[in-house]
Amino acid sequence: MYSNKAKRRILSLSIIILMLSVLSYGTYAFFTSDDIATNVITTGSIDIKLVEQSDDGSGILRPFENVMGVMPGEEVSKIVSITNTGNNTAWVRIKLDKSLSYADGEAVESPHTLLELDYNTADWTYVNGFWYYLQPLQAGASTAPLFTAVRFSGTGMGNEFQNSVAVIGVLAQATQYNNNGTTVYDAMGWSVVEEY
Amino acid sequence: MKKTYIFIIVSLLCVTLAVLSAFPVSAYGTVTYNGNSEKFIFEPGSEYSPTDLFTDYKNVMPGDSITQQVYVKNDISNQVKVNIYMRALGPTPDTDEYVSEEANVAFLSQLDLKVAVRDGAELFKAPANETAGLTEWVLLGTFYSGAQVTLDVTLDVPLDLGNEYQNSIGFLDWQFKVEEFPVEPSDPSLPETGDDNLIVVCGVAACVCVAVILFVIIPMRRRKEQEEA
Repeated sequence: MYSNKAKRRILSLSIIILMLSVLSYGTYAFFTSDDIATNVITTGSIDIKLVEQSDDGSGILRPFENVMGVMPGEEVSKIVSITNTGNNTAWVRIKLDKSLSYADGEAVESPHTLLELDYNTADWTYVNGFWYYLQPLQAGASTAPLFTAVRFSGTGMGNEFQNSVAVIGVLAQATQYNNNGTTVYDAMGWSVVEEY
Repeated sequence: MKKTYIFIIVSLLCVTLAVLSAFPVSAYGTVTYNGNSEKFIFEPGSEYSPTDLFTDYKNVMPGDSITQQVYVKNDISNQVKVNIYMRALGPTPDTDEYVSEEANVAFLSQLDLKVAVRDGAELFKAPANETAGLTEWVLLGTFYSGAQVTLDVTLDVPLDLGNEYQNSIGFLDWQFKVEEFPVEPSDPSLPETGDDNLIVVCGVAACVCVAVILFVIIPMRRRKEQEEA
């Protein structure tokens, strides 16, 4: 069927193919590829909002607005709390600055006895000038109010207090809860967040 | 009746969502070499980078020390083993969409990063903006099909990290490289995967050659010998 010459060619070709196939398998190694992963680290933040509201007696809370014409012995609704608007749990505290001045601008020396606040001592504790909220404040949550009303003294305020001005300054601060103490008193890194 | 169906469907959806939400998203990154056109697949990615391996390093806070895993695995066929290398490239260039180059470096320099092969060598321990022990290519190992290595990556955020770093973002690059080699007879045997193209081609070629030798060459020689005799 085939001549000897053709058979020899077939033989040679077969041997070459056999050798190549074995050789190619034995040296089948190659550098292929590299690629880059871009990794990202982000930090969180602490954000709070000081909330001041009032209740006109209807039970509906509205943003607090300055009140004019208050008479001795009257009580003004002022509900102070803090909302955690960030995405991390926080410790929070409040510093209050009560001031009272006569109509001519002169400051009253001891306004504390004339302006009384109904402090919520179940949830807040006063230490070294600050009211500390005892529980960590979760993201999105609000504290119980620190106080809900300001009472003007009925007996201590004479005619000299006509047209006087009372100011309740509220300074709210927050610091991170994670890795920052087991109680609010242990916490460090307080920063001024919002002042009214 | 229609209301009943709607109620049932809504209830099922709610139950499904509740069940799904009960299982946390996998908290690890994976680097998979599949040998196809994609070569390396980086998962899970993030809203900032499709190749982000850092699942647990979002919204970190001062004082955090977080360890997460990155799995590096070979998902290619049985007939190939691979050497996988890794190196750090440092802060990612061209991140202006999110952060300037200077701010990126400044932020990363505040953080400490550690990378170690599980039960093995520590590859990197330095501020996150540096390349340190991963400046040069480091061989993570030789991987047969299905094999993987676990990298334990630990991020330490200093407790005194300042407020100026609130809501910061940092990008850093890792590069992976692969070399393929055929599996040698002395290598451990592996289960069949069906992806045997190379061996099949070589085998068929060898069989053809053997058949030619058996059915053409040998008979030819016999006839030649008979003729000479």
